[in-house]
Amino acid sequence: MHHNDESKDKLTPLTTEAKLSSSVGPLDTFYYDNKIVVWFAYATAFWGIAGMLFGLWAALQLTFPSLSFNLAETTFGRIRPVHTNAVIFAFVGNGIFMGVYYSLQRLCKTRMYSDLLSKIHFWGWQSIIVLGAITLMLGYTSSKEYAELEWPIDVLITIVWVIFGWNMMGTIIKRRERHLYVAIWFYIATWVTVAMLHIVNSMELPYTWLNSYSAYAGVQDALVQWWYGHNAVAFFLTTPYLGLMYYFLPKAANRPVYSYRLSIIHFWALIFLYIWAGPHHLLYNALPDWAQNLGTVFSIMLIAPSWGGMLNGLLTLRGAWDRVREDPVLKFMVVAITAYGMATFEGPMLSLKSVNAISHFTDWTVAHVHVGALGWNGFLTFGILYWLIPRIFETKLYSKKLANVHFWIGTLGIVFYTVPMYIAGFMQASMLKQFTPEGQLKYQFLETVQQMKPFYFMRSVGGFLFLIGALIMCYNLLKTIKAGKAVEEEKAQALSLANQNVVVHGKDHWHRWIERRPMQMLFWSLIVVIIGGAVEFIPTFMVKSNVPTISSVKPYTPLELAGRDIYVREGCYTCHSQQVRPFRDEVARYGEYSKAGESVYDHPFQWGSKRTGPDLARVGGKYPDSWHFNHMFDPTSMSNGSVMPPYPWLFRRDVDATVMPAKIRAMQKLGVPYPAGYDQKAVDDMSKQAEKIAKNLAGDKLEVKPSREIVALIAYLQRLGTDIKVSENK
Amino acid sequence: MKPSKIILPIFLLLPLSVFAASGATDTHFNATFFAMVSMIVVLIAANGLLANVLLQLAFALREKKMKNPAKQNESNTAIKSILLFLIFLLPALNSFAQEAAADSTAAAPVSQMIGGIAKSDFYLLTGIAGFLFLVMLVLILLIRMMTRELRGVPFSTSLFPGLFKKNLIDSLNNSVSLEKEDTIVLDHDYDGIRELDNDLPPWWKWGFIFTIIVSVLYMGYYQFGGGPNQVDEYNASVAKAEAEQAKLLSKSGAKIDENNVQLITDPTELANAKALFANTCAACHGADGGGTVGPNLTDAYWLHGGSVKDVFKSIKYGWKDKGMPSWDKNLSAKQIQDLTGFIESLKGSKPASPKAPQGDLYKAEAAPAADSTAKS
Repeated sequence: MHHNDESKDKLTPLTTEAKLSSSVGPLDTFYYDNKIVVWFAYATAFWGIAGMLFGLWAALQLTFPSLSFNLAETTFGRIRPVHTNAVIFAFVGNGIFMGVYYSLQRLCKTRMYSDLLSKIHFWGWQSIIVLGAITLMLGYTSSKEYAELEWPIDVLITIVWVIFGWNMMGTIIKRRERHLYVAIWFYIATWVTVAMLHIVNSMELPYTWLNSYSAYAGVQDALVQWWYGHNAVAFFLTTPYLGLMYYFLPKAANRPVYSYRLSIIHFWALIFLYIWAGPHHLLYNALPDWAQNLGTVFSIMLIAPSWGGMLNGLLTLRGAWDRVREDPVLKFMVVAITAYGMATFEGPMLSLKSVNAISHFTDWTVAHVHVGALGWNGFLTFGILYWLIPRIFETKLYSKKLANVHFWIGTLGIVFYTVPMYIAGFMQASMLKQFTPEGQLKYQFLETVQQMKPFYFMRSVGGFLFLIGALIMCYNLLKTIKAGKAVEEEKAQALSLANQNVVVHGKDHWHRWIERRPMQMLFWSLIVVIIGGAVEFIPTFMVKSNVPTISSVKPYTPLELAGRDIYVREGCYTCHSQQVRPFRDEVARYGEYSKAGESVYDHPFQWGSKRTGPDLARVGGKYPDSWHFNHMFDPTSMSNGSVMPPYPWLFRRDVDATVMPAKIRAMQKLGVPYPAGYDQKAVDDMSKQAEKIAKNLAGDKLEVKPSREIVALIAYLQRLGTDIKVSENK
Repeated sequence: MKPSKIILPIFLLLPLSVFAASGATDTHFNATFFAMVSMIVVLIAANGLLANVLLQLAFALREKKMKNPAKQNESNTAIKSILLFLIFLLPALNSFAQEAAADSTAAAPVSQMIGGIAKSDFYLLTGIAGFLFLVMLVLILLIRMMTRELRGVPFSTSLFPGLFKKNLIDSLNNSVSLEKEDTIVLDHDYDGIRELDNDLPPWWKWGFIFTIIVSVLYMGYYQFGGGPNQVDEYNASVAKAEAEQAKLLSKSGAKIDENNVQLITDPTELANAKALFANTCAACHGADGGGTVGPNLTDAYWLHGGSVKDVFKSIKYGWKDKGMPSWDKNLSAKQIQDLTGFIESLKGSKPASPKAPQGDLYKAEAAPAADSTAKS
């Protein structure tokens, strides 16, 4: 068998006789399920290409806004979430399952617990992806980044995730290997933490079959969201991939893992510390200072545990570096691990307040995440695919040369993607912060957008190169698959646990205790990851002084609420923040800095994380209604050179008044103080306000029916930031 | 590849000297500046020379390795990586220099000087010189590596023999050497994967402890030790900016405001204002001032008064309830004065599609006396 071939050229046989001497009874014969691995591998490659295509499309829209084709479904605000969700959950998600289903069976010396569960898991996950892409393009979104999918899909995700966990834990429990290898610790921690993150962050109150409001509002919603968002990176893009690294790297390099002790300490430190760092996404926002400080220090402390993983990977290659030069699999893995090291060093640096003041809301962050996504996740997935497919199909890789071409094109793609984004991010931040000696802002926001355009284009070139590389890989793998024949049922033999004597040579490491107990591992992982979130959430939710109320802040009128739902639907938050940070330049540019009490009725919050366009927290009253009307119809008519797409459908579609009572009732349940019975009066109030705006527009020779969506959106935009009166410098 | 291609890197570095020239325009002759720029030019030249030598050596080495096919792969990678290094390094230097040029012009008014040049320029030049010096060292090191490789002297034994001892990395990480690995391999075998029991790398362990100490100190200072919170930081930055502006104002004399605004008639100033109008006002008031979203500026009717003073105030403070933004934070008082003059000059012009009059009829005669004196 294939994997046995490999163990032949292992290092000198060490103390394997220890194991043999302890054997009693006959060997069990069983079969590994390779078919499910192949399915997940195909899904990984397919969704990888799809996700990258959406990314490229979104990127090109920033240089050529007309690529939105004036269709609602294909504007940047809708396909950007499709891109992020596809890459994270479809590409990397299927990559995780591919790697876990392959390695777990072998590390546990058993077949997967249930073929049926494996199949339900596979098809369940693929249907989530398809439903997700369709609903996102149709505008059904919760607007919480990387958790945009609406509530029925959230429920489906929970079910499929439980099925995955059930299948995984079932497999672990019926294992023929007494101790759990480090890869499995990471799989278990991943499963339990993602379950916790998903459930807590997806708490929402449905008001139709496809729409809901977040259970949390404003500051609290922001804190929960970035606790989730940060740890989606940690526990979906990092820990499972570290587990995969711990299996596939030593296998591909034929080297023992460098340090068991390092595995233990970096594993526990990583999962404990990671959870706390979420608030570093909200530095200088209206989040209490103590929470921001926690976010910063826990990010600093994360450097070493993250690098522990990188070191254990790179040092495992000691004595195998000559092969790294020749073997494309190892090449991909080395660049992946290096990218991981770079990204996990940069992350804590971006969490320093002085650096974050520059990087936040700019493309610097975009560059940072793509070092991780393209380098770490992308390249490790490619390396695993190049290693796995020829093995399962019992043949050689079709072309090593093409794999090398892929490697170089991919590497260039990463460089061409990230370098322009780093420069662009830094440049935009520096421009926006400059004042003239007389004290005026030196640049308008739109001027910075003009400067960004060439960099946006270069970034698309980088993304295009990366995509080409992935396509070359698909061709190479397809040819490999054609040349071989899949071993769907791979025969293996091992002693059952009952027949293995426990032989301890010398002092047993204390950590061995928990490695024999998967359920305890699950339990303690959960405890360790609960702590950070609990310490940050409980005071923010319970202690009133953390979100000081402002009496002049009132709930949205029904028309404004309808407009807000349109704002959410169109994904405006993907390019516009609603959070003025307490910086001299931002206050000069946008107005008084945002206060925690201002967003207490925002279910969900709309603070945003990126400013491709200007901040909108105080856009209310800044321009006349007719400005917004013209701007939404053709942004360049009001802002020459803008890269915002037009929204012509808002002028054709009517606001659905029939759901308004349900919306009001949902908001009331969430604690928004509309008067009792207001749900019945809401529609009336809505049309009154709409008529007023339509009349106002008519005064500027702009004819529009009051029922149109554009009217509601204008109402919402004109309300933004107007609740608190800031003394003007008259 | 022709040797002539090495001219390219030097060409890419040219903007550096352009920057030097632009920095020098405002002063007559400054010895420090001249010395520093000369040093940089010399360093660039030296680096160009060294890069040339390195490339020649690389070609020589490649030819040598070609004759020895067994090692071909290796040398190709080495040459490739050196070329890649040069390719990425030089454009980076180039853009760095351009940014530096932009910065130095912006920072000029700050009157902190070292040796007769602005502090920021001084540090920038020092930084560039230092960086170039480092590049030179790296180039020298690479040349030495190459010559040794050509002579067939093994790199590790010849150059810095102590530094490149085989176990340097091992001793840094406190790892057991490859030969003695058998002694620390653990009993387990997970699908053929073995684990070693190497110690934690000491620098990693102490680094971890260091970050924990830093974190405790950070929390202590910002949470309990009176360190500034974000609002404190904001207030301090505003206070600093206001102090700087007050200082500037005391030097340049009174600032233009609504009490002393003048009607400008100078054609070049009006031309500047016209360009400014096209950028900032035309979107709402029309390119010819005929009004679209905002009111018509060419007729005699004004919502908020048509005197120079009134127009100046409208631009400066805006009319928030009507959607006219305040331009106080974006345009200087001089620019607002110019714009006011330009808008006044539009009076009576014939826009293509004028918006209907809004507001009250404004007659210049009715203006207060202060305005008419301002016109003189």
